[in-house]
Amino acid sequence: MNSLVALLLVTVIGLAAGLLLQFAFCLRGDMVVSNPQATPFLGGGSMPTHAWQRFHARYYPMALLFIAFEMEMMFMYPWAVVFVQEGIKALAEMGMFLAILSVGIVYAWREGVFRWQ
Amino acid sequence: MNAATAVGATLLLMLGGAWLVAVFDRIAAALVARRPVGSLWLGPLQSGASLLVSRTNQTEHPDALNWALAPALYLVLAFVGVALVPFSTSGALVDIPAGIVLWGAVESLTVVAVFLHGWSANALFPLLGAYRYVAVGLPIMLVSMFVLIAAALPAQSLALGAIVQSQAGLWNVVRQPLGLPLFLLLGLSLTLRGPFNYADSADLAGGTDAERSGPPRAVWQWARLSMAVSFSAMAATVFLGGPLGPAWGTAELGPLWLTLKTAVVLALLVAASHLLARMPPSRMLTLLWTVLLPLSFVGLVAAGIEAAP
Amino acid sequence: MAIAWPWLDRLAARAPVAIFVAVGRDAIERVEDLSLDARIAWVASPRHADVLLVAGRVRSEDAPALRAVHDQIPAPRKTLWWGSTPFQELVLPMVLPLADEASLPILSLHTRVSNSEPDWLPDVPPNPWQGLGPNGQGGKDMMGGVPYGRPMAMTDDDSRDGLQLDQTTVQIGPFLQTWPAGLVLELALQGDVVQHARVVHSPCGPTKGLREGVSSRLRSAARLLRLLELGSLAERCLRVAAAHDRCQPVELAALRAAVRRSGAFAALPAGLGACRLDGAPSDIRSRLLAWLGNDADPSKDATTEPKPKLSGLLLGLEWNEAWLVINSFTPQQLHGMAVPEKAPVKGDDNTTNSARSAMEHAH
Repeated sequence: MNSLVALLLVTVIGLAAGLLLQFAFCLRGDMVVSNPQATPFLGGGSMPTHAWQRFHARYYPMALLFIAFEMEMMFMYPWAVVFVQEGIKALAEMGMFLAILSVGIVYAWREGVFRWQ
Repeated sequence: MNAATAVGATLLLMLGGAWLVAVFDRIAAALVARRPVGSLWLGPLQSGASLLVSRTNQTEHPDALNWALAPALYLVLAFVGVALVPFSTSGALVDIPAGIVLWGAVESLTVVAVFLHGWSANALFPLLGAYRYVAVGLPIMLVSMFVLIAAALPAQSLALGAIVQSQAGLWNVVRQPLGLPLFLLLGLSLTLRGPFNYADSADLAGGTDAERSGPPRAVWQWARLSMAVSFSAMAATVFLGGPLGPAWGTAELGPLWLTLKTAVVLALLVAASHLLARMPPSRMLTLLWTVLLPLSFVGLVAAGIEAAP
Repeated sequence: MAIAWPWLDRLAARAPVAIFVAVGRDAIERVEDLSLDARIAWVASPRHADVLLVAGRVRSEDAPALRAVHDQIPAPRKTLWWGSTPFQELVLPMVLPLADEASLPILSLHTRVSNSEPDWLPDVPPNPWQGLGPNGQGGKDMMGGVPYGRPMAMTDDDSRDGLQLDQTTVQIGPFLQTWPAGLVLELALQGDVVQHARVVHSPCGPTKGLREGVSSRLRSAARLLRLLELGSLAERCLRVAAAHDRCQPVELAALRAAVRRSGAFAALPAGLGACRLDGAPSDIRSRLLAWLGNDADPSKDATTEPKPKLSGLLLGLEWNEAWLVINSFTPQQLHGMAVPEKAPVKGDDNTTNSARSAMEHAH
C-alpha cells in the first residue's frame, strides 16, 4: 500500500476515533452548563479577567535560540545520510557549526534567558 | 502487508498498548508506595469507563473548536508514530525514506496539541500548564533529534528500516550509550509524565486537564497513553533493534520481538515517571540547555567517530 | 449516567470514587488517611470529582468559596459533610462526625444516590454586558464595556524590568489539594510570575493539642513530594505516618534514602524560600530534610523572633516555586506567617495603584 495513502488513512482513523469518542455521548445533554459551573476553578477564588493574556517577552529569546538549533537540525538531516562516505572531515565541519551555535547558548545563558522569571 | 491487517494491527497496538501502560502505571505506583496493587487488569478499564460516563464540562468562553481538536490531534500523532515503526523486516505501514523527519514532526506537533489543550479552556491553570510545557518541550525536542541523527549516522539513511538493518550486528543502545537515556527524557516530555510533567501537573490542580471532564478527558488520557506506546515503539526500533531477533528466529516473529522490546521501554518510561522528581521550570531549562544538549552533541560526535571508516 | 450502554455503567461503578475535598479546620490528617483507601481517589480538580467531601469546620468567610467549588463539580454531584455543619437551606444533607470512617458512606453515596444536587449559587453571569448605546456599543476603555462578561487583563509595570505587560489579579482560594487549609492569597500575576502577593484569609491553623511529631512532619513532607510529581513516594510517606499514628515502629532512613535517590533534594533550588525560622536560617531543602529526619524534638514556638511574612517570600517567584515555598512550612509555622493584610488602594478595576497606570487612566 502506498505510504502516503497509509499515512492519510491512519490520520483519518485517529481523528475519527478522537472526535467521535468525544461527541458520542452528546445526546445526554452535556453541553448545557450553568454559569456557576462554568466559572474557572481557582480553589474557590475568583479571577476578574479572562485568562488569555500576554506573557513576558523573556520567553521569546529562548524560542529564537530554539529556532537557531532547529535550523541546524535541518542541515544535519542530509549530512547524516552522506556522512559515512564523506569521512571524518564532515564531522569536523559539523563540529564547527555546532561550536558556533553553542556560543549562542553560552551568551543566552549569561544574559539570563533561561531564568524563567 | 495488506491495508486491513496493517491498520487493524495499529489500532490493536494502540488500545492494547495503552492498557498495558496503565497496568504498568499501577504496578509502579504500588511498588513505590509499598502497598498491594488493587484491580490490576480491570482497573484501567474501570477508570476509563468512569470517565466516559461523566458529563462534559464547559467553561465560560472556551475556544470550543480547538478544545475538541487538541485531544484528537494528540491521538493522531500517536497513531502516526506507531505507523512509522517497522513491524517486521519487510517494512512499516508508512515506509518513507525520511522516517526520522516525520517523527520529528510528530514531536513538534505534540507541543502544539498540548498548548492548544491548555489555551482553549480560557482558564488560568490550564493556560499556565500550556505555557510552561512549551518552554520545556521545545528544547527537549532538540536533544532527541540529535540523538536520532546520531543513530542515523551508521545507517547512512533517515529511514527507520535502514536504521533497523544497521543494528543487525550490534544494537544502538550498546553502540551509542547516551542515546536511549536522553531519548527516554523525551518520552517523559511527550507523555506529560514525571519529571517533565509541566502541563498536567499537581501544582496546577491538573494543569491543562483541570477544566475538562467526561469523554474529552477520556480521549486526552487515552492519547497520552497511546503516545507512550508510540514513543516506546520508536525507541525500541531505533535503539533496541526493533523487529530484529536472534539468528534462529524467523522473519514472522518480528512483531513479537518488537512488542517485547516496546514493553521493556514502556516499563523504563513508567519507572522513570514514578521515581524522578520534577524541577521548577527555570532550573529544568538551564539543565536542558547547558547540560543535556551538550551531552547530545557529545553523543553525536562519538557516533560520528565510530561510524566513520 | 449514560443512557446508551449499561455495561459501561457497571464497569464505571467499580472504579474508585473520585472525591474533591474541601478541607476545613483540623481535618487534613483524616483526609490524608482516607486517601490511602484504594476505593477512593483524591483528585485535584472538582471537574474530575463525583463527590464533594467537606471535611472539618469551614469558616463562615470561606462559605462562598465552598459554594463556588461545589457548583464546579459536573452533574451528578453529591456532598458529604464530614465533621462540618451543612448550610441551612440544604434538604437532607448527608452528615458524618469526623471521628467516623468516611469510605463506606462515600461509596454508598456515589452508587446509591443518583440525583444530582442543584447549584448553591444563583445562575447569573459574572458581569452583565455593559455598554452605553442601545445596541451595547460605547463604554469606557478600549473594549467598550465588558466583553463576554469578563474584561481582558490590562497592562501594568513588570517588577523585573518595567515592561508593561498584562497583569491580572487572582484570588487563589482555600480549597486546593496541596494547599494549607483555609489560606486565601491574592496574587498579582504577570504570566505565571508573582508580582504582588497578599494574604486575604489566614489558614485555619491547627488548634492546640495537635502534635508536631514525626507523623505530622512526614505528612508535610508528603505534601511537598506530591508537588514534585512524586505522588507514589508521597503516598509512602503518608502510609509511614499512618503506621506511626497506630503506634507501630517506623524506620525513616530508608524513606529518606528513597527521597534522596529520586533527586527531590537536587530538584529543589538551593536558597528557595530562604528565611529565618525558629532562630535558624533555613531554606526549602533544609526544611524537607528536617521533616524526613529522625530527630524527635518538636518545633520550638517560643522564639521571640518575628516570623517572616509569607507574602514577602513569594514576590518574584514563578508559580511552581511559589507553591513549593507555601508548602514548605508546617501548619503551625504558617499560622504566624500568613496574617491577613489589608488591600492596597485600588486605582481601577484590576490594576493596583501605580503612578503610571494612574496617569493613563486620567485620559
